[in-house]
Amino acid sequence: MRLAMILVAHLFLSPATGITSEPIEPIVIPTDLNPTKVSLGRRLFNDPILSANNSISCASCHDFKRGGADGKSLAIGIHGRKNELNTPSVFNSALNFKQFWDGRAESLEEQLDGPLHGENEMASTWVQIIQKLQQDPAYLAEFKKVYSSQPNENNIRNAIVTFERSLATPDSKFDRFLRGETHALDGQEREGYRRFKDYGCIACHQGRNIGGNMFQVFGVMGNIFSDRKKLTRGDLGRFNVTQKESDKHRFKVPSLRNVALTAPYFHDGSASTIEDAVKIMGKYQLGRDLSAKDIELISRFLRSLTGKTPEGNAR
Amino acid sequence: MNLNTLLKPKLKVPHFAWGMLLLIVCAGLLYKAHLRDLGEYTHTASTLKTLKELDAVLTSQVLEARLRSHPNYDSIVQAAESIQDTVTEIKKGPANETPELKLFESVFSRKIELIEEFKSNNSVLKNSLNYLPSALSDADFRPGQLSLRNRAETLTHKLFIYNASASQDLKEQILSLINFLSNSRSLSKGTEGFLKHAKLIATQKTLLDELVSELLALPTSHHADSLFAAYSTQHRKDQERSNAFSSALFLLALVFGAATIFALVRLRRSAETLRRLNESLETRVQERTQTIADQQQRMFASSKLASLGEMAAGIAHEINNPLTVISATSEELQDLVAEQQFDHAYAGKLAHRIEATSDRIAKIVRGLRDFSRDGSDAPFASVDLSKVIQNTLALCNERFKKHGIPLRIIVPESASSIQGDEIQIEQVLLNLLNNAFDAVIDSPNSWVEVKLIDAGSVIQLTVSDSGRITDPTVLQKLFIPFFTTKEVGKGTGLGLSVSKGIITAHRGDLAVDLQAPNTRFVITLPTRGVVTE
Repeated sequence: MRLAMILVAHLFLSPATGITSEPIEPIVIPTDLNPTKVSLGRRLFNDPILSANNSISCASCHDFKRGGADGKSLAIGIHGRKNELNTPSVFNSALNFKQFWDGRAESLEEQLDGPLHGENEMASTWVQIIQKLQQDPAYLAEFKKVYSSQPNENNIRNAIVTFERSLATPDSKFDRFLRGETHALDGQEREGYRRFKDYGCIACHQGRNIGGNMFQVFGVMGNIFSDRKKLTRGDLGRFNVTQKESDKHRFKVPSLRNVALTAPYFHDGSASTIEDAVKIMGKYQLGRDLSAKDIELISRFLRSLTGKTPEGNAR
Repeated sequence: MNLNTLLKPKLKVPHFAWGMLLLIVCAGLLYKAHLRDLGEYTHTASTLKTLKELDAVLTSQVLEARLRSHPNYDSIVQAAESIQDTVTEIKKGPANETPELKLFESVFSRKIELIEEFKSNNSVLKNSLNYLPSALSDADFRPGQLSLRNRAETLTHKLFIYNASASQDLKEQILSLINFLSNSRSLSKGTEGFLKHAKLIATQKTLLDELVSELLALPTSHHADSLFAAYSTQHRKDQERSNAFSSALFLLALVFGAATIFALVRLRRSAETLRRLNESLETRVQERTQTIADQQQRMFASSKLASLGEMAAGIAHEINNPLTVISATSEELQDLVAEQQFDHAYAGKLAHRIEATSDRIAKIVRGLRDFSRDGSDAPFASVDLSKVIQNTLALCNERFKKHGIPLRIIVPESASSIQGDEIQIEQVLLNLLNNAFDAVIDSPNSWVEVKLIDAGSVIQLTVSDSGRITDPTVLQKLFIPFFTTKEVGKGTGLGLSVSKGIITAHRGDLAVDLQAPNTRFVITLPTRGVVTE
């Protein structure tokens, strides 16, 4: 542990961060995960048994065919109940510094209780989940094998989170470019990346997850909410956590990894295409009306961020 | 110190309790003296040092992000998470409840707040800063606004310098330039965009300077130091206390050791006293045994005398009768000699009678002599029991005859012999016969029987009479010295007890046969020789 810290400290102190001087680093496949736990977590992730009426699973909203999200503007829970926020992707979520749009969960472990207990999400309780799992001989056997114990809150949580940590999407064209395969990106995509940096997108969307490591106000260069629909609680963002006036409309900067797969965009799913989203971002975050060419090139770059979809189906 | 107190167990219950108490105190001290091992201390100390290092790393990452044109906040996030992990680890360790840790945590959470603000605002600044050259080229000034264009270029230039400096003058120049440009009439949209970013840079830069200076002023490093110092102090105190307990334990061990040595010395002394007492006890037992033996000896003698006294009359009678016979026969012989016609044959017969009768007297006298001799010291020799019976009968036969008490003698043909003292056995038999005589003399149809049975390894010599002992107390006390049922002056009460002593000395037994219909004393003696002591 100590050694790791010292190593990390040395890494930080060295002038160049990581293998590239770019503000974005490629995805690394996690190698320290227990495969039996990942496998058990995958099974739980796909099992509707976790919801109150056995109707939906985690995978219902975090669909691997849809980039680990649901393709809807706003998430829909049991009994078709609508939520006020767009489903973020589960892919690479371990790289986010906090979880949820408002960053109210410090870790994936903490995040899990949100969707499990949310009235408009799975509306389940630990007691229900544990009871259901303990009545299932197959689960009993698997928990016994993996944790030498009956299913309980701790090991269920650990299994699911371990699985989520395994959901990295490596080897996108852009990552290969970062690793030195200059021609993994074509000229237009490379130009898109240049403009992405030049126009300042990179000021927030940086780091390994191209976002997910800071908060930013939605509407730095102009109030996007002033001339829009009625405000929802979800629109207040981090204010709901801190109650600080300055945190109104402040959100966790979302990751742009696999962004081509996760439309619609923004916390309320209000942008249906990448181009729309880029345009709105340019105007309200960068204070600039991006040209059609800019939008096209940046969107091309963004489409190069799609990585390899992890294995998703139960076992 | 007498023997009783010595023989009682030395470890009384209170001593045991004291010992237990001492042990418990020792165990308690040992527990208290137990120090957190050095490895754990080193680990915690190094974790606390790591905390300070990571805090410095975090600060330097923030400063780097402030200066980089394209910062990557992952390193800041990782440093902050490492600090959080370290704090969690410290909370599990021995420094968990130090107030300095709480202080550090509260200051650290403020630092994280500032860093979040920094990241957001730094992004806005970097966005505008990176965009500013493009915005300048996008700003379109009319041909007549050349001075404005020059001013915009100057502003851009100054903004970049200002970003990397802390000059207050520069800030005022920038603000007046921005003011001047903003107040100019009919600005194009591109110019307005340029000015927006220029203003933003000026305000964000100021804001970030404030954020960073507050961040740098946060005493996280100081609290990390005090946390380390507090832990070290605590550890030193623990160590001192532990040393104190160790010393106490050492002292207690010394006391315990001294007590043990004292106890051992005392035990040794007690053992010595015990040994001496044992020796004196042995001497006393020997003396007492000697005394008892002497007393027994005297008792034998007195019993013998008593028997003699008892028999004096009988013996006188035994001798008197043959003397009368001798006297009468010799008178008759004298008469015969005086007469003319001397019958030789008759005279010889008379002389023979005198001789035979004299022999009988001689035999009685020999028996008496034998009896009076002290045979107690005589070594054991082979004793012919039929001879014993004959010798004894010689002493009392006449008495039975005179009183017309039939005396039956039943002896097997082959002679049985034992190892022992002939005189003593005779004494016992005579005793029993005298007792039998006294018991039955006044009753009608009385008889006495002596019987010798050879049973191989033992012989039994029984003396039965026609009487019967019915009183149980008499039966119980028969062999107790000085117990007698005879009239005063007639018996000493020593006969049976002495007899029992003699037979016991021969490894035999003298008992009353309770199964027999009449009084019956049984002498049992082993035929094998006994070992003299």
